[in-house]
Amino acid sequence: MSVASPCINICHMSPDTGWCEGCQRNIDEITRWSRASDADRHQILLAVADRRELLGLAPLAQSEGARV
Amino acid sequence: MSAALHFPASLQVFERGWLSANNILLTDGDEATLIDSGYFSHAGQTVELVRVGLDGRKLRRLINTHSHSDHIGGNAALQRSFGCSITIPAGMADAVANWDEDALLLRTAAQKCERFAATSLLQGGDRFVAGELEWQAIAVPGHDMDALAYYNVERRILISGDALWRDGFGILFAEVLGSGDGLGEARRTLEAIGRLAVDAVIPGHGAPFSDFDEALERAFARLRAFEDDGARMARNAIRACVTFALLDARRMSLDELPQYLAETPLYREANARFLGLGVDALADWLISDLERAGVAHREGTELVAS
Repeated sequence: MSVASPCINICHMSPDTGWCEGCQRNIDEITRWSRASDADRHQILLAVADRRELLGLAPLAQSEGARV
Repeated sequence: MSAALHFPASLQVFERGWLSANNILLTDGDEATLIDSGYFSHAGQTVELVRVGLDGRKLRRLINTHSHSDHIGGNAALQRSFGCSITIPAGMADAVANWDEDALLLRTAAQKCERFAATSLLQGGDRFVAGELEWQAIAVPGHDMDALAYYNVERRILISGDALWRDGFGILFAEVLGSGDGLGEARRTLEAIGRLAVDAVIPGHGAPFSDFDEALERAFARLRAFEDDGARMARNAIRACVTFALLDARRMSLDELPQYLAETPLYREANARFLGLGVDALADWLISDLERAGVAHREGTELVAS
């Protein structure tokens, strides 16, 4: 299984950081996610982890988002 | 499964979550077509994603797979931002024109959507070109009785909406509500798309996938389970719709949950037709079920999305 999207369904871009308020990806990272290689996705997730730490947020769970 | 399926450069998928359906941007020279627009409360991000994906092109047309709030919620905002036309499945024309909140399931499932006006219609068998590919509209009733999927025969790509996911399909609303033969239509739809040659599916939710045959097997297995056990189908529908509502609101009052379940038509009908539980028992089952699934947890007097 490929690297799952970190989307947690809080899909608003923060005007302060330029990152999504849910998953902390920037708009370019969200746009290219579905054609990104696994290596690129891991890089994005590392950046997300750094940004969440900077913002004082808990790490995102490594599982897929909530399933409807 | 490889990390990302290879689509032509003229086809971009914006993989969203469960509250917003995926968006598919198809480019033809300096113009573009978008399929599905996500949920109302995410419309700002949808507009930004599309703006980046357009890269200076003009969004000429927006096409929907079906009329549910997680697929049409950004229609109005996209039209305002880009001046695009809006094409919808012909079967939903009256519901949109009259903004029939029951037919659009907005009142039925207590969901929000900004009103828009459609500019043209598509029906099963119609063809159009987008992303330098010719797409055929295929009627895929079941989850939504008027839904369309879009199929490109050369690249063997199926844009399936909520008729087929990698693991299942969308709630069979008509069956749950007692307004139509959702199970029978879903079976005929799966049989019909199962006859197509498909190398890649772009579903309404979740990542694009290539294991089409396995996905069909899983969908048929789920359908059989629902055919055998209506209560299972009803519980699944209630769980999915409350999860959707929780993803939107993020938290709900535990005290108000029984009343919400009693007053929202989808929950009321699903319970009355298949479960026959008292409303407090229904709420208790739901809370423990969502907690067990890791979807939500109790925080004081509230149920909070996890």
